[in-house]
Formats: sequence, structure tokens, C-alpha cells
Amino acid sequence: MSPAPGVLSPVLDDNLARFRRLLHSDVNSDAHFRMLECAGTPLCALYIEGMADDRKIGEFVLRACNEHRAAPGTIIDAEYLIRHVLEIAQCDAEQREKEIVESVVSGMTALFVEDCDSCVLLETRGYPGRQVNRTTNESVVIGAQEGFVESLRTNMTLLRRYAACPGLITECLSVGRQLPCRVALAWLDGVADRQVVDAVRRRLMRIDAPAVMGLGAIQQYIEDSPWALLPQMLQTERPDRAASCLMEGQVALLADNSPYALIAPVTLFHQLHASDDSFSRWQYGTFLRMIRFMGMLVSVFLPGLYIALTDYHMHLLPMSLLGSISEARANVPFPILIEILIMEFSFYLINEAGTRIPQQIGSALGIVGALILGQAAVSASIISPILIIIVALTGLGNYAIPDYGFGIGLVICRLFVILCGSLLGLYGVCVAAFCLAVGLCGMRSMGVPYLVPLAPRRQHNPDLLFRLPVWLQQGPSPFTRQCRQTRSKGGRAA
Amino acid sequence: MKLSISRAPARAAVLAAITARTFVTMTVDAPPTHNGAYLCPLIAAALALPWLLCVRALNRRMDARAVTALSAALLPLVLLDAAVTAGEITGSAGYLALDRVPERLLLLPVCAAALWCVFRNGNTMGYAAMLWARLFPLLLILIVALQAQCLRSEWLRPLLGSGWRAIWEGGVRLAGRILPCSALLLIAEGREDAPERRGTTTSTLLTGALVSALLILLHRMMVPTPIREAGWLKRLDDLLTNGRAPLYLQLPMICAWYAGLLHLLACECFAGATLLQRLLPRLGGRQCALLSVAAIALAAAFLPVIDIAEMLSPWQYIAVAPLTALITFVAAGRKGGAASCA
Repeated sequence: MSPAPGVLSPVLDDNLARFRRLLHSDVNSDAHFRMLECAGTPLCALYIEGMADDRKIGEFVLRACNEHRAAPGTIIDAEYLIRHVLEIAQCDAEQREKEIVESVVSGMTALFVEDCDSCVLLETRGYPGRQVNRTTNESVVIGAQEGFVESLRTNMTLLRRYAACPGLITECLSVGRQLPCRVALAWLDGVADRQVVDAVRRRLMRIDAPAVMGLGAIQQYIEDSPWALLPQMLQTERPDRAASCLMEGQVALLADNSPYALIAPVTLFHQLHASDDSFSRWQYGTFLRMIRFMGMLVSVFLPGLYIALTDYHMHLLPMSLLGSISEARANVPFPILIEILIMEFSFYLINEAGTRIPQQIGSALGIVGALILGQAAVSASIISPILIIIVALTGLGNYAIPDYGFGIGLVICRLFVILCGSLLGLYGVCVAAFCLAVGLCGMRSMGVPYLVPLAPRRQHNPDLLFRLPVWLQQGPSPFTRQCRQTRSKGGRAA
Repeated sequence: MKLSISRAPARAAVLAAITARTFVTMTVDAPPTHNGAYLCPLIAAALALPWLLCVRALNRRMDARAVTALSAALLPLVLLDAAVTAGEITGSAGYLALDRVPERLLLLPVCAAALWCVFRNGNTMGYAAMLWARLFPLLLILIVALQAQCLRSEWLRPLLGSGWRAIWEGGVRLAGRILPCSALLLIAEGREDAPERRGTTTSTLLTGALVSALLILLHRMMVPTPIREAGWLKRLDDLLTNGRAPLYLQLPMICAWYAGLLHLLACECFAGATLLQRLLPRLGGRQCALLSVAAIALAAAFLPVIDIAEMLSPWQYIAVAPLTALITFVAAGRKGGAASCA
């Protein structure tokens, strides 16, 4: 009887022929089919060179099989090999063709057995990878310095080290059809809201793309509002921060080749948190958060307000300031809008170039930016000196925001406010602010409103905008299961 | 898309709307020329409370026929009031800086903002109002701190102004004006999006009235009571650039003014669109929103809506309140409700 499609046949040669075809072994020199024997039974180890660790295969598979002596009449099958022969801790029997191929290409070894309709999948992954190192984008003054790396296994281990409790669940999923990406969905059982976990899993499983290149693509597939300017998930490259989010009832996503974790659900306030806050005393944490919040407001509204006030509402400026602005702009030939757009564009240009430029010539960029765009543009009366202050403050405000994607979203919001301010003055700025506020209020992250617990109001831990002392942080997170349970009873969260 | 809003966001939106409507009516649109104006919101709240309780009863009873009947009565008033708000916003914008821009052109951004808000549905609008309710006290503290040196408590005297009769008339007029702002409570639904602090219709109304009374008191301490009847622009000028505090200190006040009016407009536009959908259930939410906003824009552009609203205001309460009471009475007399019969 021929086997069902997609599962292994008991005939070794049939299986090997099938996998040779699947892995294109006639042209693909990486796929190795190593024949061996165990107590007279033919076996074949299938692995990808470079992805699997040769030493592990040689020492714990080949030698173990060759040296094993079975009692006469013993039937050698996958179960027997796992129980009595193989010396690798992590191995499982598998029948499904798709799972076997995915495991093999990810670095595992498949051991096929004659007269057996399942093979043994052995954990032999040993590809070269970056060591756990300091974080690059989320550096802290004090506190842990480790960051996630590109290997999913290492990242899961890091996460487990910071959240070492039996409730931590890491569920592995495969996303993508032709070029699948291994994803780990992590949450704390009993803390995370099951509805949120189910929602994340459901959205992951719904992804029907041929290739999913890491968490960046996954984020776009599973976000609530992919058209919104601001991200609805948090990216962190710090395992301690990811673990702390799990403690708050959030869900973390890790993926192969992505040196960061995606956290959901999140709120606007999470985007303004930094790891330093947790390591510092509560007064310092609160102060720094306020600075970041002010930075965000300055980044979005300052240029728009400047243009509105100087173009339409001169009477709202103190006379001395108005005099300085008029004097500084006396020789500038452009309207303020053009002046601001020139400076903003130059700023983004320097910023983008600074990100891409090799480190060795990075200092030259600073000189170009400061000398040419600052000094020379003022001397040539292309822009006014006061505008440099405005744009510099705006840029600093933007840099104070810890999340890179969130910062870029705010830059786009800023351009909208500038446009409204230049067209309609304060009226335009207020209409723009109203539209942005409505947009924020309408956003959700995994079904949780983006401005919770402010709008809608919910009981919450006093560690949101202000950070109160740790012994007062006893309230439930708005994402936890307890909060949801209390909510369903119709009462206030405890 | 079905336009809907949960009760908690609806209460927040109504609170923001009532406060803004009361303050604008009593300071700029039709201020009584006496000092007792701060008592008018309290009287209006006392008058509007039975109406709101009837509305709440109809809302809880889910009597479709009664809700439809009241929706039909309220819809024109809601649209008119929204047009008034749009006119007030564009009037302020024109007064502040854009006097050379045609007022009809200034309607476009505000209508677009209102449409954007209605398209995001009711809870979003309610959450925005919740956010505003959190920000407004901070802004008010800032405003009072900046204006503290210019506030004159002696301008409040005589406390009762021209007497109780004038205060009563002002209260009745105001009660009529706040009915359309509260129409949202008729259509709010029980589905709660989130746990909320306990709030009731009564507390919403009373809070709105008390906050408005406080704001009117502050305004009266900032600007002396006019001896003669002044025009709309003059009154706006008195409010936003009163001439005693340095002008640059007016910035937070202007922001609060626009924000309050925008929330009022959003609330009324949403209420208008939702009432329209109740009357014409075959229309989609977006179509209703477009129709309502178009009607509001046209009315604000081509009709003297502020004058019309002021002309109607003494009779608005007298006409709507008994009608609502009658509808509630009839609905209560019927066995069950539409929902229970279904």
C-alpha cells in the first residue's frame, strides 16, 4: 500500500528519492545523505552542511549507531533509536514530510530508517552566528547590557534567563509558504490575557505570504492598523525589557534572523519608556519620562507653532522676540514654510546619511552638517539663525524618543502640522492636533486601545507616564488576564 | 458601517460638549448682560435633568419606535447646533488671523476633521473627549496662572446681576441649547469597550454645569460686564484678547477655545449622523456621516445659523422636553419594547 501524500514511506529508498528531489540534491551540494548502519539495519542521515554541526553528527549519531549492539531479533525503528542508541538529548520521531524538510533546512538532522515510516529529527543546529553582545540602539547607563542576536534559539534562552519561571511559554510557529520564518510566541501563562495570545497566534497563522523576512514583515502583517503612521508594536533588543513586558501580561514575538523582540499589545506610553527607567530610582525615571514626553510634543508641534505664530499671529509673540525674528529674517528671500522645509529636509538628509555612512568617515558628516548647512546657510541668508534653533530643538526632541519607528512616524506627523500651520495658522495647528488625537484614540494594538489607560480609562500600574515608587506599583497592568476578568464582572479592576 | 458608541465614551463626549456649548453660549453667542450668568448653567442643568432621564429611560428600554420618533425630533436641532459650532469655529479663525480668507473656505478643514472623527466611529470620538477631559484641567490651571494678575473679583458684583427673572430666562434658553449636545445619550449602547469609572447621566450633566459655571465666573472676572449690547466679534475679542494681559499669554486660551469647539462639533456631527442612520437604517455609516456633515457645512455657509439658533433657543426646551416626556410616557405604557417583542 502506498503511503499517504506528505508522510514518509516505510521503504528507505523511496524516502531518500523523495527528499533528494525536494532538496535538489543533484545540483545542491549542501544537502548530505550519509548512509550508515545500526545493528545491521540501513539508516541514512540527512543534513545541510554548514547549518548542522558536523561534530555532533559524527560523535553522537554516526558513532553511536555504528557502535550499538542490539539483541538478536530486535526491530530497529525510530522509537528504538531514540530510546537506546542516539546520544543527543533533543530528538523526536516525525512522519510529516513538510516538517522534516523545514527542520533539515534549519540545521536539524533527519535520520531515516529502513522499514520504518517515521524518521528521527535530531537537534544538531550549529551554524555560525553572532555572540550575545551589547545592545546598539537601546544602550543604558546602568543595568544589563545584553542584547538579542540573530539566532532564535539564543534569544529564547536569553528571554528564559530573565523570566525564569515555569509559566513562560514559548510556542514555535512557522510563518511563510516558500521561505518560512521560524517564530516564537512567548507569554506568561496566568498573566497574559488568553484572548490577546489567541489573537496574535491567529494573525500569525493567517499570514499567507511566500516569504516572510523577519519580524519587520511580520509586524506589518499582524498590526491592527497597517495604514496608521505610528507603530502598534514595540521593538526591543533587550531581553530584560522583553521579560518585563511579559510580566505585564504582554506577548513577545521572536524570530530567526531578527535581533530584537516584538511586543504587543502596547500603548503610546510604552513607546516613551526606556530601559533606564526601570534601573533608576523612581524620581529619576519620572523626570526622564517627562523629558521624553516634552520632547515628543516639541518634535511634533514646535515648527508648526513657529510658522503659525510668525506668519499669522505676530501679536501673540512678545515684542522683543518678534523684533529678533523679524531682524533675523530680514534678508531671507524665502517664505517661512520654504525655509522650514529646506531645513527639515537637510536635517533628514544628514540623519539618513549618518545612519548609512561608514563609521570611519562619520565625523566628516558632522562637519558638513554643522559648517555647510548651519554656518554657510545663515551667512548666505538662505535661512534665519532662529530657524536653526527651532529645527535643532525639534531634532533633539525626536532623538529623545526611544523607539526608532515611532520617531519616524512623529516626523511625518510633524510635516502635517507644519502644513496645517502654514495654511491656517493656529486654527490649522489646532485642527491638526485634533485630527492626530482622534487618530491616536482610534488606534488599537491587538485589540487594546492605544491610549489605554487614559482613554478609555482603566485601572493601571502607576508606571505609565509617571513612575511611582516600586512598592506602589501593585496595580494590574491593563493587559493582564486579571484585569480582563475583573472587567468582565463589570466592576472596577482591583 | 454601523455608527455606534458605548455609554462611557458617550458620557465623556456629552460632558465635553455640554461644557463647551454652555461656555460659548453664555460668553460669546448670547451672553446675558448681567453678572448672574454663572447661575444659568445650574438652572439649565436642573431643567435638562428630567429630559435626560427620559432619554436614558428610552435608551435603556431599547424601544425602537420611541427612539426613532425622538430621533426625528432631535435631528434638525442637532444639525443646526453643529452648524452653529462650525460657524463659531470659522468665525474665530477669521477673527484671529484669517480675515482675508472667505469664511466658507475656512469651513473645509473643520468639516474634514469632523468627518474624519465620525468615520472613526463613536468610541474613538468618546476616547478623544476623555483625553480632552484629562488635558483641559491642566490647560485651565495654566490659563488661570497666566491671567491671575488680571482677574478682578470685584467685577462679579452684583452677584445676581439683574435679578432672578433674567437668570431664569437665561437658564431656559441654555437648557434648550444643551439638549442637542446630549442627544448622544439616546443612541449610546450598552456594549462597554472597557471598564470605566462609574458615572451616571446625572453626574455628567452636573459636572458639565459646574465646570461651565466656574468658567463663566472666571470669564466674568477677566472681562467686565458690558454696559451695552456688543456684537459677536467684540465679545470674542473680549474673551480671547481682553487687552489687559499680555497678548502672548492668550495662546493657551486660544488652544483651549479651538479644542473645546472641535470636540463639541465632533460630538454633534456624530450624533447627527447616528440619528440619521436610526431614521434611515438602510444608509451606511459613512453615507450618513457625509450627508450630515454636508448639511452642517451648507447650513453654516449659507444661513445665519447663530442668529437662528438664538431665536429658537427660548422655545427649544419648551417644545422638546414635553414631547420627550410624552414619548417616554407612551413607550412606558406599551407592554415590553421593540427589543423584547422581536
